[in-house]
Amino acid sequence: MNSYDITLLILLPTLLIACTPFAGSWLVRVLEGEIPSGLRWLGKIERSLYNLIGVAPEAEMTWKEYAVALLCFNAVGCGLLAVMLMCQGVLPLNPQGLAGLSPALAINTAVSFTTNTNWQAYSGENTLSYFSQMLGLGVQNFLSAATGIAVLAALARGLRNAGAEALGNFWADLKRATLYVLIPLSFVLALVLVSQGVVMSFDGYAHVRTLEGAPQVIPLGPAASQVAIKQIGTNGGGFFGANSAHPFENPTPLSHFLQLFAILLLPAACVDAFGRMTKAHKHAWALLLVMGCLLATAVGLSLYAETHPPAAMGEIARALPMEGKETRHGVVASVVWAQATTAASSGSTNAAHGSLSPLSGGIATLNMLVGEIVFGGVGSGLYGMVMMVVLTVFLAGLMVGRTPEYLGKKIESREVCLAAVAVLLPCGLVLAGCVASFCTSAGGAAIGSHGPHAVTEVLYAWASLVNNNGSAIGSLDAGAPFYLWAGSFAMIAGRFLVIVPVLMFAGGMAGKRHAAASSGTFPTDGALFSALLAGMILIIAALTYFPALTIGPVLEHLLAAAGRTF
Amino acid sequence: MRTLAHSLKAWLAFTLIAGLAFPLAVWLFGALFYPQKANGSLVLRDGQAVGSRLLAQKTTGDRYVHPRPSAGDYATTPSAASNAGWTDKALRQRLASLPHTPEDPSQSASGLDPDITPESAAWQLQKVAKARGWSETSRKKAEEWIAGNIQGGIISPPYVNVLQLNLAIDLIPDGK
Repeated sequence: MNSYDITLLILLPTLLIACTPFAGSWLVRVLEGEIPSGLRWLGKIERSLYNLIGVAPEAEMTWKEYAVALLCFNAVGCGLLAVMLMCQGVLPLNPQGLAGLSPALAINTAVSFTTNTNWQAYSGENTLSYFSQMLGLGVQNFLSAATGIAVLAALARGLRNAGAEALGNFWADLKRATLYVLIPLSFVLALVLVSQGVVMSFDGYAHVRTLEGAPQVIPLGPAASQVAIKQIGTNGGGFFGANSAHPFENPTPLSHFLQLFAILLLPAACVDAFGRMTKAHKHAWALLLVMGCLLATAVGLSLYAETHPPAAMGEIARALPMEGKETRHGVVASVVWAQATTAASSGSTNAAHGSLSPLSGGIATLNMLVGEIVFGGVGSGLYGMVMMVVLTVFLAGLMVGRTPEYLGKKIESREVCLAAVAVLLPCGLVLAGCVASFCTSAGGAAIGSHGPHAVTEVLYAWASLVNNNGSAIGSLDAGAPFYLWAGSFAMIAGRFLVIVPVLMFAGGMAGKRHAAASSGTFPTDGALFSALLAGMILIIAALTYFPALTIGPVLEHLLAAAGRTF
Repeated sequence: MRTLAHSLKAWLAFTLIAGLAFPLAVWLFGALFYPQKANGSLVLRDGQAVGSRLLAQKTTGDRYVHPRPSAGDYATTPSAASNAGWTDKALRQRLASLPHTPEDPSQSASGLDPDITPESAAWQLQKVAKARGWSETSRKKAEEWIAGNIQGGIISPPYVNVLQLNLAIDLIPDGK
């Protein structure tokens, strides 16, 4: 470990802990309808938006109204994006003259960006016009993150309000999150990225002659604005195929550090904001502690695995860790990024995840398999974590034989059922996807590696699709029809079959009265709770995925140590 | 139907704000303050673009320092990584077949890694000096250039940009 590695490992968490309360309180003020000073001029835009759309921001919605508005808005965005991608050949801002996408790829891509997954079965530089990137994908980057924040806000109101089944107004939450949080943060980040060399151009690709006189095409495009929101909104979809490993998306150590920070900032701030909105700030920081410990453990273990290749590798052990990584990022920063991007559901990559060591690739997979709740996506990480908390509180209640409570409200069978659906349904989908991939010829044909690494590749893909991460082990043929269609289904189910139970849960909780805490109340802010929650997360993941992880990354590690190749 | 109408109008409004106004504002900033960087960090020599500082270019022979190997042979639309895992036979054979020198034999994630380690640069410089028939003084001059142009080292490993190094090498006359 070098001094620059240690600097990064200290600087990142320090800055994150320092900025989380600010970002969290900003988020709360925005969601409560207050316009932060400095952005007052944007208030005019917000008001004219309400007039244009014809909604009143004060109109409170029940969980059903909230869910219908959310689902309808996302369906409209997804449908229009798919049409836009299919028609890009006749739309402007297409200097390369790229043709429209096939329906399967267009639908897969539209679903992917609407669900905050950003799984990419294409490379932007030879597939998408500037119009599609900017007015299509870029817009859904904002809206899918804002949708996550909206659900978080509805859930917090459900737990806070007593007696009235009101969760706030979806349209107001959507607009406020976009206008006052996502756009300002992305704007600042985008400006710094431009100063570092991230391209932001509407010119066609440049054609140059290299020093040796060979022709070289320099791809361009409006990338900086999109890279900024892809990190701020935990979307993760790269402007270029190589994502944040591409020097045009991530040219310097500073751009690297700021993007890494941006991946984790809003997911952490969402937890803090949830605590402020529900007046349970200590509980929120207990959640952050659990998330932080799990991520730190993942980083520590994978750093060890990555920097200690098995002795059986012989002389190539020195070169192996740099395969699929960039010189300016190096091994340590790439491993930290790989763990952060899979823990938070960003999915943007600065290294080829297929070339990670078997164990750090396995831990990255596990980060997604636990349900994208270790920081997770913007909004979605927190609401997924709350579902896990409900199960934990229920378990604790069973142990002491009392009706469980959460934030002063009784947890009853309806709540436990909904939480179980939100937690276990994605698990079932991941395993079903893996089975279909191995048992059908269409699924098998897309597998691009051999031996146990093929198991990791497929498990990684389904963990990523269902939990809306979006990164992939690149040897998989993501463009195969099987993955285009089954993947689209998995992304929709993994997103909205969690959101709907969460909103149902929020609606049910909103109708309940607060009960005073008694001596039998299980405190949800102490060390005991944190340990129990961490245990619950790991036990559910272990019970579900232990066999799959054993024949994938673990076996691959053992065989690599024994010197086997495939 | 009312919700559908709300959705359509909201989508349109957000497309104009987040999809048009926001990128245009960023573009304007780049065009005003960082036009060279926003347009691909192109490097000019005698008025001709010879590449981008940020993208590796295919290099043959010993007259220039080489960037790291590329899985996509330095193609840019799109670029490629090997995506090979640690038990991949081809990867292991590829790495084993290369000589053990400070030159990094692994393929990068982007396939266009523009940088190499200072050790690799210093090592490759010996070959370049020989191919160009440089005197000891010229070789020292190039070494000094490398020492003075190491980037990173604070929160990242130190690295040297290959295209900039090769341009500096071209400034030193052959056979002297």
